[in-house]
Amino acid sequence: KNDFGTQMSDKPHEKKAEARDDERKDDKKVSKAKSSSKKSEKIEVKKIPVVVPSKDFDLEKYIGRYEGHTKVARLLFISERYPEKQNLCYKLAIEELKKGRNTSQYRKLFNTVPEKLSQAGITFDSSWADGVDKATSAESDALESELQNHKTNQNRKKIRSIHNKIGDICFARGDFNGASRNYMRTAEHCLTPEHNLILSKNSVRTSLAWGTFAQINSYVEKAENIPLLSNKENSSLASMFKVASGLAALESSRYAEAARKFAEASFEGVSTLHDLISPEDVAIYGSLCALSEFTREELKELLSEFYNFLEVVPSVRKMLSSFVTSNYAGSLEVLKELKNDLQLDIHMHDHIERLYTKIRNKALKEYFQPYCSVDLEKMAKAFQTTIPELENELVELINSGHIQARIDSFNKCLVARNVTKRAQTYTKTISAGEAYQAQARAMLLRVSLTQNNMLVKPEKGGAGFDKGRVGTGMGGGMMGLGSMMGMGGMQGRRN
Amino acid sequence: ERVINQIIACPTEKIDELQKFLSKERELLEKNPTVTQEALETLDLSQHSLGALHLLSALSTKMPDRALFITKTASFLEHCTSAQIKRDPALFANVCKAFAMACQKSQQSIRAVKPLQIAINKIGAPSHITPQHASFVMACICAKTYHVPLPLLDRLDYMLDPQTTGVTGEDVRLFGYYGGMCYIATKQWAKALQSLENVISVPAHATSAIMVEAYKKYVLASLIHLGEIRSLPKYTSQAALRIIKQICTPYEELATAFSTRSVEDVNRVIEKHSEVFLQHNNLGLVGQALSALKMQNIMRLANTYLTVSLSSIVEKQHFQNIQEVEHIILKMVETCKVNATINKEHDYVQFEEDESFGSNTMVDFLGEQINTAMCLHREIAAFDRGIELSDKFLSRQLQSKNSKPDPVLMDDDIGGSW
Repeated sequence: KNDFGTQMSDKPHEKKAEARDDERKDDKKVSKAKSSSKKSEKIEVKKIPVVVPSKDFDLEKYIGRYEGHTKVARLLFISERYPEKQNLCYKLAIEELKKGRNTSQYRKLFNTVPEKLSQAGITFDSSWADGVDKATSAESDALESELQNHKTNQNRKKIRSIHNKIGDICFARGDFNGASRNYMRTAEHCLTPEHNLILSKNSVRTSLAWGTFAQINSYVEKAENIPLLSNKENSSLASMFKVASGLAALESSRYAEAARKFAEASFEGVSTLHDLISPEDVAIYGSLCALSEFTREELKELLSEFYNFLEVVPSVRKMLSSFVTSNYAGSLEVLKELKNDLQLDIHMHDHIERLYTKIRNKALKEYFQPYCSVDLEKMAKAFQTTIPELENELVELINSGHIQARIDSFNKCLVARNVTKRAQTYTKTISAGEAYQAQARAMLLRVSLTQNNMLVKPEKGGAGFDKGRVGTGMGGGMMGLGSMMGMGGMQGRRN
Repeated sequence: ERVINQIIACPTEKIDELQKFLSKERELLEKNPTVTQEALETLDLSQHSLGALHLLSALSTKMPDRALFITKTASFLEHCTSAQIKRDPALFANVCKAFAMACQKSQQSIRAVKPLQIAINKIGAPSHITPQHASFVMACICAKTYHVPLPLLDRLDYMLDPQTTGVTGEDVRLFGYYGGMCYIATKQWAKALQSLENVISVPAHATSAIMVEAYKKYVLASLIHLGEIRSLPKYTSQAALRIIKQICTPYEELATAFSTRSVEDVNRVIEKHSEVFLQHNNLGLVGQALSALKMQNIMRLANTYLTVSLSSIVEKQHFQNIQEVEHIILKMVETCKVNATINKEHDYVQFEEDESFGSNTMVDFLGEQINTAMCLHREIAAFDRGIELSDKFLSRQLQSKNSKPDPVLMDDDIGGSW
């Protein structure tokens, strides 16, 4: 946990001497913002961790790959976690917002974090905001009235196109609910496969921007059933669908599926999806998911399939190839470097820990697989950890059944364990026999009790508890063992 | 005197009449206990068992002289003729119960053990449960002769016939509960769990105090034997179970502390609720549960380690010192739970694999088990046949063939709730 105080106060000394008085004022404002943000942090339910990324992390280069909604979302996400560059984030976010028509988010930003924006040197441009609002409302009014016209005329083509336009406006404005609604309304007017394709594309785009990943799969399935998709000109669309389903799988922690979907996306297609994702992202997500779930052969295949993507991120390629050639140490090193920066990534941040542990466990398991006994010291060196820590990790793996071995603490080695099938069979048989006997006897007793109607019944008028009186009344119905007919029909008097 | 003469004079054929007569005279017998006592002396217990029975039961309600009652009943139980007793099983049950209670009160339970054991055979056919089962086991527990009922418990009677034996549901539950206690005392945990489970999962619409007590012991025995609460079968009455769990919250807390496998947590819970446990007479079991936890922790080590140093065990699992660990391991090796050798020179324990399968004893054991299972299967088949051929079932079948099958009847909740 970083103390805001120490971090911020160091800044004036480290920053290059920018002879600006504002900076001193900024510090005071920052400390005020600190306390208020601390308060707001206390109100927030989830604690947002502060990330200090590696020296190689260049925010501008990173964010330059994106545009549109995802750029803004990523910038805001990073601003919360990377306090050093917070001002820069906000600046870039505002710039991007101004390129579009999303005044609601613009206003929201100024409402929630006004002090931060002002100390970043950004002021609320009301003229721009109001101007955009007016223009778009005029536009949408015009469209609405057109829509009414066409509805009365039952002009399906026109209705469809106007709904699409309204949807597009909503999307640009950040009103994803409205966008989704309007797109869905075109569903009944879609006549050609192309229309359906456009509908799917719009729905997927909206879901991705909105963050509702659950529905994406159904849209993608619909789209992929349209043969038109395999045409050359639709390759970017096809890639978008693949990426979308990959992201949806990632969100629900289905890593193997995610990896496969990312691998099926084409490089050229992904390069055009600036308002969604970048090729580097696909490379990283795909590789990490694959590493945690794929077998060695599958990973080899992936290396060739993913070639283009991996070119862009050579460290990831190194990670994959080291793992395939059993150089686990090298692979885990790269992974560690990536891990820190990935905490700033909007899709990956809450999966990275889990993936990391999975990959590490897999590496441990595969390391041990060919051996009968392994020296713990060598293993610890290979995995860059100390022997006690390695022991703890191994105990976990043994207890969860991933490794069949036992630790020899005295000789400091890990010894494989032969699980004799015979012993297992014997134990299983005996316990099955005992279980059968116990159950049979219990059943006989129960049937006898029921036969004689010896249930525990509540006292008349009393609460259900208390030493219940037993009814030994004359025969209720009989429970045939063969036919499980319940009691009924002839009931004795209830005592 | 009139009564006595009647009893003595009555020949064996007219026993039923005698029974009716005596039942009418109950009040008279009860009102004059001293006279009844004297009258008892004059009767020959084996010939005039029925009469003696009535006199004894009259005495049991007001006991002017407990010692005398005990002696008389003891010899009665040994000498009475079962044919006569069977005319009035309820009375017999009452006498036995009173006998057991009287013995308990005067701290002479051990005197009750033998007579009650005989009493069981007098009134019940084999594999029937009788009220005497419950009284007998209770007497044994009070007398601390836990091993005596074991053959009876292992016999696993299950048939019930209230008309000839006067057994009630309560007797069955008590029998199960006391049986569980005997098994616990002799450390046969698996059988104890089975017995107690039978009591808890008895068909029920409400909860009975017996079920509650049985549940408490069930939780503790389960923790000792398995380290977690064994799940109860599906047919356990949910309503009853809910109420039971509400009452037994200290035990549930203990079980949750167990699941963390931390000795300190468990200790804390025990201290917190020690009074409650003491009140329920379960404090001893709770202590046993704690030592069982320590043993279980070391057992888990045996699964992951081939050799492990003693000092690291002391550290990781927060034992007091090495001697304690050694002591526990020795005990486990004695009871054959784990195969281990301690090397004090180099300060480590080595765990071996269990390779006892395939020996002759194992084969014999399996053969035995198969036999028991087959006998059991035959018993079940016979029982099933008996029900299938009974009048009630057949008439029911005919009825349902005439009318449409009623889906309501497929309810698993057995019971006379109509």
